[in-house]
Amino acid sequence: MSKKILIIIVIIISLSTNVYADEITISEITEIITEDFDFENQNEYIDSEILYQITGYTTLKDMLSGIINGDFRLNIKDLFNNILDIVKKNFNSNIHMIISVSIISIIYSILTNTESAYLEKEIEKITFCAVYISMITILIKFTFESIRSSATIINNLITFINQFTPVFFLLITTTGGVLTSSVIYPIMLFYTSFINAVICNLVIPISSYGYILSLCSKVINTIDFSYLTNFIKKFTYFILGASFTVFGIIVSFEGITFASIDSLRFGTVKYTVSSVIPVIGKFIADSADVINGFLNIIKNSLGLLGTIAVITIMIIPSLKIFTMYLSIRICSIVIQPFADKRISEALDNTAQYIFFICICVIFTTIMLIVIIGLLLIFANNIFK
Amino acid sequence: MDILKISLVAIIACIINIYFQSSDNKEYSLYIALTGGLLILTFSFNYIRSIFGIISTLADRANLQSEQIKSTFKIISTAYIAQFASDICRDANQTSLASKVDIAAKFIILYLSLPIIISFFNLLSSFEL
Repeated sequence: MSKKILIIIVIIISLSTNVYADEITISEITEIITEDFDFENQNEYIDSEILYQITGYTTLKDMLSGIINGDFRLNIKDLFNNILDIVKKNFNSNIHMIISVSIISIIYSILTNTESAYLEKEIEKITFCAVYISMITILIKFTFESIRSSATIINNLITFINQFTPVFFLLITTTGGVLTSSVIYPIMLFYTSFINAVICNLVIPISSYGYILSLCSKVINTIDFSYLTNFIKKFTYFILGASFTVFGIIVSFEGITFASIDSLRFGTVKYTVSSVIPVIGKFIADSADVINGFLNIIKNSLGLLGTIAVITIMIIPSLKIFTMYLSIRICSIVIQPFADKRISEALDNTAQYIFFICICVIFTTIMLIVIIGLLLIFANNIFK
Repeated sequence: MDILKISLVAIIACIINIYFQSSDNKEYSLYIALTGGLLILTFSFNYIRSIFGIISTLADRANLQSEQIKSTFKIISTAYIAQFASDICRDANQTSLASKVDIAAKFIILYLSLPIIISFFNLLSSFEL
């Protein structure tokens, strides 16, 4: 009986059947993969001119196709020159800002310097108060105008990452990382929104409050809030540092654990398929390897695309903020010998505040690049 | 060289002052001090004007609001003029008058700085990131 069944099965298997499949090109695959990724929206947060200068492509879609086809070459020399060009252009457009800051600081240092030499102490005090308030009004207006973009950059970065990661996790799930994507994706989604909320609604407003307070505390010598302002400064640094550290730890541990489990499961399934299913089992396992390999190329290309897009979004606004920081720092250094101590301190505080905002932007960028890197590592761990 | 003229006027005024203080007509010494002070101020007036002009040009280049710079100038000029008047009063041994000039100057400076303070508070209240 069993022999008959075996013969029937052998006959059924040995009967040749035709399998039909459409030929599909790489660009079509790219189309399918990027359907969910809202590339049409890219103009909202990416300057295509800067993208072109950095990568040689005007849209993210073209760039992705280029990377997958193997046309994309990141020429380090050209890239360096292009970034230098961007810095130069940016510096030229910000030269007006630098001149304004130096003029403000020089005007007010001259005015306060002359009055302290001649006036009576009481009249000098009240005059200084008025002049100082006038100066900090201009300085605060100027600073907020130039750093207002920082919250927008952080929002743009998070929007981009939230549009970018679903495609990425889809690919991870396709390549067998079901557990990784189901655990890491919610954590990541929560965390990026959390960081956005923490920086835009907590860290930047609190540090701005501390900055204004540090300027106001210098109006009269006898009223000093320096302990409070120092506390606010340290507190904001602590929040920023703590949130990034906690994020790194959680994502690394969870990611590595679940990626290993996924990898184990993927290996087991492959082994079972190749050994239990006779004849075609090995073909299925091998073709799974090929498909996974191809999907891995796309995944790595998406990783590269994400990193470059993140850098493109943040480079110009953060350079602007950094130029502002440098100009105010240089002004405070230059006027320190001859101006009133409080005026140079006000400029120094402004420089520190702008530097902190710059740090917030750079930290967010680094965090997003680390996220993309970690995702790539997890994805590659599954498919070993 | 205006500084030479200023020094000359100051030295001459000092010598005449000393002469009158030792003579019977002591009241003339005050007039001499006042005239000397005014002359010196007149010499420096051109410089003050050109300094203000340069600062205004710089402020225009920096896109600063001219009102803010103007009120700052007004405050500083008020302080200087009040200081000059109260110094003369002190020279004439009228310390109570001098202190009254000081007080009036403080009030005027406060009044002039009110728009600056109001604009500062307006800025803070309109602040959003």
